[in-house]
Amino acid sequence: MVNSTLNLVWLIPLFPLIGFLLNGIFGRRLGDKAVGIIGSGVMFFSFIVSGYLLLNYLGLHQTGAEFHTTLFNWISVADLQLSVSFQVDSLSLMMVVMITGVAFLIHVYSIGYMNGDEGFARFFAYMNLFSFMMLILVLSDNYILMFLGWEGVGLCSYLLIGFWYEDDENASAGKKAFIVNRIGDFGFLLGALLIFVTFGSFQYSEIFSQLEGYSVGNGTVTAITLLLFVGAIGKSAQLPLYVWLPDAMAGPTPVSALIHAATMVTAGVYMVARSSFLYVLAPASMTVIAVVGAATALFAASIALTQNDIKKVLAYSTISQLGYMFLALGVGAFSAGMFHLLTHAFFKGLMFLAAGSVMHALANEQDMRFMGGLRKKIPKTFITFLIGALAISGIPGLSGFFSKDELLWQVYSSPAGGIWLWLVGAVTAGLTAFYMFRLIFLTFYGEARWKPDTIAHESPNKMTLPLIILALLSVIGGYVGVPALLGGENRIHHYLEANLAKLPDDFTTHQSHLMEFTLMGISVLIAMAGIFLAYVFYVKRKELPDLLAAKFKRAYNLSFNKFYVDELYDYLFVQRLITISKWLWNIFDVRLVDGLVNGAGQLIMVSGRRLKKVQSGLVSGYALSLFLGSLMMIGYYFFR
Amino acid sequence: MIDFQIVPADFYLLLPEMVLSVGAMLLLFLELFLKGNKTVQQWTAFAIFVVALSLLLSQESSGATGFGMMVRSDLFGQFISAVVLIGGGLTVLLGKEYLVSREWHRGEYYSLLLFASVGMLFMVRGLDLLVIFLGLELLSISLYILVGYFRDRLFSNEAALKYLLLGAFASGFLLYGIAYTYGSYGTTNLNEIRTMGSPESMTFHWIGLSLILVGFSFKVALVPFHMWLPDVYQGAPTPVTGFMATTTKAAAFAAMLRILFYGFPADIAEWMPLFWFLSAVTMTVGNVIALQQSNLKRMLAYSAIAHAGYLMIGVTVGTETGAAGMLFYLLGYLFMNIGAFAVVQYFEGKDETRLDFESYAGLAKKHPLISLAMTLFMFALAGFPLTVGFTGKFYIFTTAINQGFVWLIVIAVLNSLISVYYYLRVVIYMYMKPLEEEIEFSPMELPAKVALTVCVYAVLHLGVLPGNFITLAREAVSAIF
Amino acid sequence: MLGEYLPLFFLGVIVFGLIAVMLFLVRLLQPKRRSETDLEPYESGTTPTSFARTRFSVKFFIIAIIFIIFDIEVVFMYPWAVVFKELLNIGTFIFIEMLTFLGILVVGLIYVWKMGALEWD
Repeated sequence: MVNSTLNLVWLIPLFPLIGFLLNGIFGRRLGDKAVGIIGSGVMFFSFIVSGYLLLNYLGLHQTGAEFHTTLFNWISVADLQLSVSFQVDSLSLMMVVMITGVAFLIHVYSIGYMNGDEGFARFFAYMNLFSFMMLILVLSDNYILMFLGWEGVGLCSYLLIGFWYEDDENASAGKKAFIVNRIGDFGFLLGALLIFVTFGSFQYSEIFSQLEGYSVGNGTVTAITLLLFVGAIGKSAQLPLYVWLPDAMAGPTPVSALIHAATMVTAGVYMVARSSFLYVLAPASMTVIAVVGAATALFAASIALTQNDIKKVLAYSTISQLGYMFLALGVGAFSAGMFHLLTHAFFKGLMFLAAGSVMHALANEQDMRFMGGLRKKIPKTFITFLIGALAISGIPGLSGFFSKDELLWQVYSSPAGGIWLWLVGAVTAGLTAFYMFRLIFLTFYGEARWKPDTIAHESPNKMTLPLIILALLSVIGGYVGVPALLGGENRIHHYLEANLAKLPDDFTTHQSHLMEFTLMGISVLIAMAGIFLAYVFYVKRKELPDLLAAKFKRAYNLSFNKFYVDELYDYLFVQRLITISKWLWNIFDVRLVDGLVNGAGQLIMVSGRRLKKVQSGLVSGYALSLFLGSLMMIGYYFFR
Repeated sequence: MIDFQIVPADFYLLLPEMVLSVGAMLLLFLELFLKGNKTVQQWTAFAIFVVALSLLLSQESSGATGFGMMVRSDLFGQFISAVVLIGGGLTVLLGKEYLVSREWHRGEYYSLLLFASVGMLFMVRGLDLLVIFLGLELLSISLYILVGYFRDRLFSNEAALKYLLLGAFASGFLLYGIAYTYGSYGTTNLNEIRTMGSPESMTFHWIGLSLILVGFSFKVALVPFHMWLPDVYQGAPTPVTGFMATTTKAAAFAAMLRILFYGFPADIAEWMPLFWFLSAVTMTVGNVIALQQSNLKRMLAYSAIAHAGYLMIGVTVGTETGAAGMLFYLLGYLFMNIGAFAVVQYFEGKDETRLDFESYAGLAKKHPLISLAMTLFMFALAGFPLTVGFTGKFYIFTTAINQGFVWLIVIAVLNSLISVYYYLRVVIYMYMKPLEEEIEFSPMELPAKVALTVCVYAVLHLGVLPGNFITLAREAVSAIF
Repeated sequence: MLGEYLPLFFLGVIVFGLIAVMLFLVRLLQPKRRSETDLEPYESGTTPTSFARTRFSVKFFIIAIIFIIFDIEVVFMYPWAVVFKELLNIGTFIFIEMLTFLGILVVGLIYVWKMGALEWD
């Protein structure tokens, strides 16, 4: 379908691209002020266009309408058609509005946060580039353009993690993010190629229109969906590839907020939801997703309990919440997963920014053991942070409550879900409430444990204003999805479901309202209990945590050391790879040119000997390999 | 008895080669009688390449043969010849600064580039195994000299000597293979071999073809015939390395394709498992060893080996689309690799000490544009979208996977993902490490700037709008099927 | 089919066999004493005056290489001259071809001459 207004969709990624080019090329000459205005201004324009398109789309009253806009044909030969084209539908519009809105706020925040940084222009250029790539990712109407965005956001994330490059830790964090994401990309790319082999196209609508011929449980579709999910695991930091995300916290805080909480890490969720028509045909993949999601949610939450670094807590919390979203996708509750993605973007983005504001106040202190008592010093930050924490804990009335409740309810009632998965979700909710309020109490309550010479001060308006707006969104953001049980219409569900696949059997109607109400009550109670427990532990009886840690030393150490996964991976994979590479090198590359590494002086000394070697030993070794290769070629004929 | 006719049209076919040869000799004379400024030679050489290219492109690609079916003018030959000539032209533009700074700027450099190009043109346009062999030898001998061009430098000498010894060895294999082929078919003409279909002696045919393939595997550096390559690439003057890595690879692969697909179409399926193996091993060995390299030229050398592996997928697939993918990728590879070597040569400094990753630390701050170009080339080599590296690889991979080579592509995708690590390392050093030492590079001269710009533009153009060129490659390969 | 090559195979066997036998016989019959003189290169009976592997001036090689080129030129010209009469229908062509060939060589000659390759000092 074509719609002249919605055809303007190309403007949305165009603005950040312009921002990237301006800031990237002229950044240094423009001065910080202009850079900041350009950087956030382009995001604002993008947001306006996105919002305008969303209103237009809603005004059409055509549920499930899809609009395609082709910019140009990328590759167009007989057997391979690939175009740069966008798809506008409920899913992409929701993502676009969320991304541009949150990104705009974070850009504004960054003007204050990055103030005076040497690489101010570079930072904004990268952030704009990231936004561009992210928008391409969600707007694309085929897997290859999505892959471009997918790679692009990965690259920008990589560049932004290593932003403060003087730090060696940052460089190696970038490296780990890089390697893990490669594994994910491997899955994604193979999945996309397999899709092409199977369906002869990369375009979503063309692929999905062919699905009628495939029965549920089809082997190829299962393989495709599993491969794509490997991609999602890497990008969205799920077990077992989550290790890069906590390390990625080494980057500047706005980066963590934008990339590692609100947008990029949710790309995997988006991709699975986008491919939902494929996934409903592969129950086995769905089960894998649900189990991985549930396991990740619980696992990451249990690590977050003991971390002392404020950003690490938030990072593990993000992993855990992403696990939630995958849990929802895995049981077929695609719209609930997307709803949680939306609200999570608000409150997690908010909390990261607020954490940045705390660090700003305390001269970049990240360790919560050196915080405390900040409630009165930085009230705006405190209140907004508190709202975020309440929202993620699922306190009724806030956005997190609606999305989490909807999600858990569907997990329970779906035929693919059940009571056990629900239980994992509920326990995770309790843990979430606990560690979040542990963070709140350690940071804002109690006595000040700041390092000497710290003067805590509230952040400038540029930083607090985005906090306030995001806090507002964290409060009201959930009202787009008030469930019928509470007298709402669950608008977002109806909005999204037309563009998402459904499980064959509509499970939501089967269960009684009483059950829904009971479960809702239980999850709220669990969250309250978590908050209360945190209050007892970290405000009332502060000796308790240490006592418990001493008592359950082993469990505590496991959690504190993140279950030793990093060490395990290093031993299992990194060391092996190095060994193999060295081994191959020794076989195939006799190290002739040591001299070059050792310097020219030595070179001349050994050159005589070396030239002799050339005539006697090494070249004949090369020739021998040539000869053996030829024997192999000829031998192939005889032993074929 | 004498049954062939030579008509003027035959000479018309060979006009590009003749222009190049006469030009090469002219340059030798210029070198003798023109003292002082050698800029004239540079421009003359460039003009010769341009004239040869325009003559080549103006020819009809009807598949006309000349000199008793010794050479054939078709779109396939034109495509690869154009790659060779463009590569030669870019190398001419890039070479001067490098040679001047080492006080080795002489006309022979250009002359040898032209001779090497003549050889390559004969390789890709020859329809007779002997013509192809002669072309290969002309190319090889010119390259031996070019590799050892700095005759007062030990590395250069060592590289040239190794290349000569092993190259002669490989040429021997090739010639021996041609002899066996003659033994089994009674002719060395590919057209006659093709029409004959089945050989008189199957054993001779197989041994012959094996040995011919060994010869070309050596030239394109498939594992285990690759041993010479890192040493030679490292020791050769950098512009020459860029020239070798791109044009020679294109010409050797093209000759291989023509011999195999045009001359022995029945054999492709038989060879498939072996090609599969060679392709997989080559890309894996190339990439994995490249991970370990600390020297940029050597890293690019192993990257060249890995790319030979990717290209080999096209041969393995054995269809028109596979070959078309190779042609397109060779075109793209020309620009990204020559571009990369152009940046390397700019930064490496007079005494070749600045070739390790560390010396690229922080260069982006002082040289933003060149660093950006290098970033682009590295992304392209790694196969990042919007560059030709992506479209080329993507096209090869999809055609292969369409033909059912799933596992080969799994290996290839895995490899290209590994490779991103070492390509990106350059970028990281340039952008994310602090500047180690203040070194002043003299500003890049105009010809080099032009060449670099051309490379950047081509990498992007072929990455964003590859359609026409892929179509062209498709048409080109139909000439050899 | 391979049977045709059987005589060739036997020839090979005989040749290698004969060599082996002869070497074996030499070993069996030779006097059992070893002196330094035994290991010296044979130079027509005179006593060697210096080490055999001395370095030659590169000029010898250059002259040798140039010689080979012109040697091949002559080798090429003989058959050309012999068949020239039979090929009169394309006589002009092959005449010009030979001139081209010679021309290319002359260019080379002029080049090496001017570069000083023919001058001994």
